[in-house]
Amino acid sequence: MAQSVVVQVGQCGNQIGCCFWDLALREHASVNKKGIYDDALKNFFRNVDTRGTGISKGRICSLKARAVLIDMEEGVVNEILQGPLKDVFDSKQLITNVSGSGNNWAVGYKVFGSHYRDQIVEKLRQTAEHCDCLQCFFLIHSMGGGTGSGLGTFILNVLEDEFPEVYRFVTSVFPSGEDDVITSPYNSVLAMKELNEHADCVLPIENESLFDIVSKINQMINSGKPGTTVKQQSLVTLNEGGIKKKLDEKPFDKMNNIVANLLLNLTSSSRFEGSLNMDLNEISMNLVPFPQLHYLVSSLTPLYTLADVNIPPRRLDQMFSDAFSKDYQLIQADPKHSLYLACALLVRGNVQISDIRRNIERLKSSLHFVSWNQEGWKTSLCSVPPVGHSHSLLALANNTCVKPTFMELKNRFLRLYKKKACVFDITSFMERNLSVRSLLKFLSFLVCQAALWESLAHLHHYLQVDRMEDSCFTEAVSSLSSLIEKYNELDVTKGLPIHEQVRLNIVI
Amino acid sequence: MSVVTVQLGQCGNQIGYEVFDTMCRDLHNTQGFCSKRENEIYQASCKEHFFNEDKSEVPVARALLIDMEPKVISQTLLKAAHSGRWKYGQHSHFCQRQGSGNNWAYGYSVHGPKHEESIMNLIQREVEEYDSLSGFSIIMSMAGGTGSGLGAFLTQNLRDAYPNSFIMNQVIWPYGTGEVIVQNYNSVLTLSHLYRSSDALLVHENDVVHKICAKLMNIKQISFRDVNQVIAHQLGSVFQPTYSSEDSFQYRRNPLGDLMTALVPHPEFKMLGLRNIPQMPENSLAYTTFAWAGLLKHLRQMLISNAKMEEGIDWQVRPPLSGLPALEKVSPNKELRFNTSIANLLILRGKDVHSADTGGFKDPALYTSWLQPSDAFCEWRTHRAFNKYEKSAALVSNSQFLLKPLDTIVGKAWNMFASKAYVHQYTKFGIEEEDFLDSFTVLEQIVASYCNL
Amino acid sequence: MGRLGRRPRGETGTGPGALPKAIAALSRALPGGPSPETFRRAKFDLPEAVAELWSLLFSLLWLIHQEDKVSPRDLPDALEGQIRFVKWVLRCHGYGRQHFYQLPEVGSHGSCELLLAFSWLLAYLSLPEQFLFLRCVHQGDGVWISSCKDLARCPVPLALGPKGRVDIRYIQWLLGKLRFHWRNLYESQQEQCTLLNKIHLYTRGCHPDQSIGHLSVPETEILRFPESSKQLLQELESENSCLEAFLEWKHMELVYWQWMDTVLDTRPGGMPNTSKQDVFLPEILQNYSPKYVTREMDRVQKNLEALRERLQEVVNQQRAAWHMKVSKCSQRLPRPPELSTAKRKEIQEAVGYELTTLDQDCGVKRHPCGLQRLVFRKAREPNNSGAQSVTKIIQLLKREEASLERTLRRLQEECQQELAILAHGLEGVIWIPPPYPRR
Repeated sequence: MAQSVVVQVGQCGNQIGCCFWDLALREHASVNKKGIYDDALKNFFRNVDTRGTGISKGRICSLKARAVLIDMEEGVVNEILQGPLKDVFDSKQLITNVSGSGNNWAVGYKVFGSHYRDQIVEKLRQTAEHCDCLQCFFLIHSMGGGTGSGLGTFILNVLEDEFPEVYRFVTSVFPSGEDDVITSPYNSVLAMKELNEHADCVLPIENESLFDIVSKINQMINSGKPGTTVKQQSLVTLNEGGIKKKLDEKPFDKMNNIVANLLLNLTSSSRFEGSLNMDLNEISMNLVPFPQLHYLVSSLTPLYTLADVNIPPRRLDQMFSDAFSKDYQLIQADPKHSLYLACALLVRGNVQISDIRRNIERLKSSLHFVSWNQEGWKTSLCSVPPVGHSHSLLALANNTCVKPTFMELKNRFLRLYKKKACVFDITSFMERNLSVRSLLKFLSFLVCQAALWESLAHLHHYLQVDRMEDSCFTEAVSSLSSLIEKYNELDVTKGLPIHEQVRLNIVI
Repeated sequence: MSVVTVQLGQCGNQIGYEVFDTMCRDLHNTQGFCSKRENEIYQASCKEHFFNEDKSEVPVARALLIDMEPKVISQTLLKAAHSGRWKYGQHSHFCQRQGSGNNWAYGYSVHGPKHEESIMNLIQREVEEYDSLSGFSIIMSMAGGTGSGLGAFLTQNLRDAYPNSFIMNQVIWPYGTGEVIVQNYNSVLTLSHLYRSSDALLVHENDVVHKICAKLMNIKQISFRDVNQVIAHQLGSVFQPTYSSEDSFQYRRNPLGDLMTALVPHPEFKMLGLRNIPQMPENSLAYTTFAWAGLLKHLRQMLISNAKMEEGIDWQVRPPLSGLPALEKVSPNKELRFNTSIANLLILRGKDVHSADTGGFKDPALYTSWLQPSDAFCEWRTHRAFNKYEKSAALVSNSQFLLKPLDTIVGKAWNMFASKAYVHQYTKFGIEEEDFLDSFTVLEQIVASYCNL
Repeated sequence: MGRLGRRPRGETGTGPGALPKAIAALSRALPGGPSPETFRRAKFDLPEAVAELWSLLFSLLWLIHQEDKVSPRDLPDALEGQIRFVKWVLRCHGYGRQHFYQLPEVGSHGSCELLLAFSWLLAYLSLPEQFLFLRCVHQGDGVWISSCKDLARCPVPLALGPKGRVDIRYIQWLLGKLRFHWRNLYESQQEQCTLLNKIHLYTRGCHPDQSIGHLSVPETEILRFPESSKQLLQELESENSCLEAFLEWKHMELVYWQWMDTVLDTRPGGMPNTSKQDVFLPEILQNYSPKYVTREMDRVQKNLEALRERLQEVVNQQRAAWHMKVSKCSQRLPRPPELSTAKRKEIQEAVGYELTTLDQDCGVKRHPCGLQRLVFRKAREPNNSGAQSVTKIIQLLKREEASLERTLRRLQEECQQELAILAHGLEGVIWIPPPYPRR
């Protein structure tokens, strides 16, 4: 039975991580009635006795999460350690600092990275040693900030160097257009380059989509229509107070819960039994046809279960249809109108293979698949449903609909980066056209302006950092461009008639 | 003579369990339509092939369970032990903690060599217990990573270690859509490797069995368990004891060897298909009567029109008239109307079995030009009924049954290969593009050989 | 039929009733034996004897040539089928008398030819000895040892296609069947040996004969089921009477051959024999007198020795001349290139193989053939009885197998090379040689 380790970096990463652990405990509690430390628990938790040594079988004594919590500010981690989950984490699993990264990728990556490298490797090794077969690292972070983005991607590098055979799944929260962090485009694009090169699989998430989903649920709960009472337990946005009591719940908590549910469903088939199991390495194998195209769009259904048991089983087919609708995707994208390279359906609960096949048949015609993978479906069946539901579906798609997200990101980056270029253009123009004195005057004025403009571009914050140069930016953006180009090439083939390749001719 | 069943991967283990369970239930079945003494001999013969006797008198299956991750094996062992009628050996399993990730190359190049010694030792220990070894029956799926990759590696090793034993692979052909995305690559690599070391590939198509469940067994929500049980019933009707010759009342000593000798002596033609008649839900059995003439007529038409089950048979298809010049080379793209056979084995079980007229299967027009029906057709008759069916017939056929599915898989895999999709996942573990090309060549050759019948 | 010289008459001391007695003895020594009356009729080429002689020939040959228990369905019961079978077997064995093959398949005439054929078979196949062997009671556990050369006797009749050609796929099919039958046989033998081992181990110390030490399966069966000893007694009695009949036949044999001579005189001469196997009458009996035999043998031996000495002289002369020639030549030739150790080793190995092959081909068969009794011995027990150890026999057989495999490989390579040269001429074609199937 393989184990997984969760590495949560930065504020966002740790908040999501915390929700994840809370939900995991809840799920296992509802399944594991006898309190025995079984293989399913072993995946994410260690069983330790009072002295802290691991116990491999028998009754549950004290569960410790296989996690490493890293943040350059203490706030979030301290909250966790004071909340109900404090026993789940070990002090040996934390790395914190007080100063924060100032929303600067370079600080997170270059400064804190080099400073904490040894500690990070040490903690990771310890956690890995507690596993008898480590299969996968889950990295949770955000792209827009400094720690999550910079230090997070640095850790990704470290994971590749130290544990090359272990899969690296990255859950990245992409910043939205109205992000209040100005430098988020820089951070995101610089981080993207690292993701391109060092991650096995990336699950991009956008806050906007999460927000839309939360609104939809709220609408549903508050609509007051008859027959629409929702089973409270089944809300995909619910947690039982990992960080705060319900009264103190922030809007982000609900959104984080959705991501936590995503991770739980992703690993359900490797934890619990089923008639068609799927391990995590199978996700990478089936959904990544080319090494660089490893971005998977995810969608989670159903978002809630109605309390009324008289609703007919049409709900099952509805679940499959919803998974492909753009309202349920966790990024702002519409996969139905883009090209699918591959698609995986992870089903939990009381569903049979014939139901899945029937729905695939039904939905196939409305989706565009790439010519060489017309039947690009991967399915898995886990018999244990999530808490509060009788069945659920997680759809992971490798789809060219991520391209607009990346293009948007690139555009925002370029808009910001170009401001720095403007400065030099004007200066050189002025140099050529005015008399010396007025030139000098104008120049001095401009230099002040330039400084101002440059500060608007915020580049100096980055370039001040040791070993950070302009070339980092240009490389990052070109890496992103080539990725977009690859998606373009595939998009071009969409809708073209499929022609069969000429086969080998055998003469007997 | 003993047959060792090797259950590989999730699919292999789940089906293997159902096969042994079906055989055991059949043995304890009182509706065998024969005397008690006859039943005892039948039981003894089946146990000789497939079970060991234990101190506890519960028969122990002659099987080895191999998987790279532990969930399925532990389930299977438990289910068998709970049945009370039979069980698996205490030390006859091997598992690791991490699967192959649907990656044929991982199963073949990493798991294979790493665990070669342990697995072969396990097999050797098992085989040493027997007085005689007839051969191996390896149950594996083609689409996954463990069953397919490790299966190909293991078959090669078994062939090297036991050059005088028969090796049959029960290959589970995946659904056309939606099990594993790289299933076509995995299938192509598996089939080409198996063709070199195995003696016979008995293919069970998931799509076909699924339709049987839906149309004949009337199951509404078909689960994998239902599919596996149908496959187990079909296999049981082939491997349960049969009389060794028409006038003898002794049971055949080497069913595996005799089946191979009858069907696959030619090294280029190893693909076998299986058709069973009748198939119906258990509760309908009591209300239906069967006649041999009807059953055999349907089965014959299923053979020549390449029908998968006894519903929806195309009765328009007829064998070509003799005396006409041989048909031109048939391309697999055209609808293959008439199914030419190389060899057929018909197994009849049940009441009045000796009165059944099998003349329809001895028509030379059914067979390829270079074999006479006396060489190509073989029948085994037993009057002990199987699995509560008063009369049942199974046809194991070496014919063009699998030409179309094989051709389809090769076509899809080739298309994917032409755009080099997923190839990096295989080259990561040592399977290069040349290996792919070799496999494609072998399979195209097989397709051409079967086309040219 | 040819024979070497006329034999002196009247030396055998036989009386007028001797021939019927001889034939009676022969008839007891063979199953379904012929009657003297049939023989007499046949000498005079009377048609009444024809059917009887055909069926006699058929039954004898069928008994000898059947492999396992052939199902009664396959036995040709029509006279035509039987006649064809007999002709086919005799042709395989090389019987060269054309008049026999021209006999019609309706069984209307030709009893004298049949008689000649019968006598030829009697001598060539040693029929009485064969049947004696078939009917003898084996008390030990037997195992057959034979090599390919023994087995390659009768060709397999192939079903020819309409144009008289055979589809290569059919041949491959038959080869495959052969391979599988071989495997079945191998497994059965393995099983038999395992079970024999169990019985032998269990019954050690039970056998009265110390050199054997354990019981065989038939002996064990008698112990377990004492009633079967009666049957054994009957079998032994029948074997005894066969032996008696055989001995009688051997005493009277000459009478029969003398009579056959007279029969042969009455027939027109057969075609000059071009087949390798010449038909001949047993030579020894022609010169029955012991004095004559010894005299002849001395004479032949002296001749042989003289020849050997002359040969040796010639050989020595030739060798000396050769050496001189070689030394002269080698002085003129440049030095041969230095061989690397690897190449030298290769050459040494190849030469070694060739020598052992020659050795085997020239030497006498050193391993026993036919049915042998299996006796169990523990590893370090001394072998006093002079019997061959199975391990040695296995080694010899393995060596034979290896040399046959090498020949096969060489032939396969030659074939492949030829095909590759042919395929080379075709453009745009990649030649993929077929993998040769293993056992």
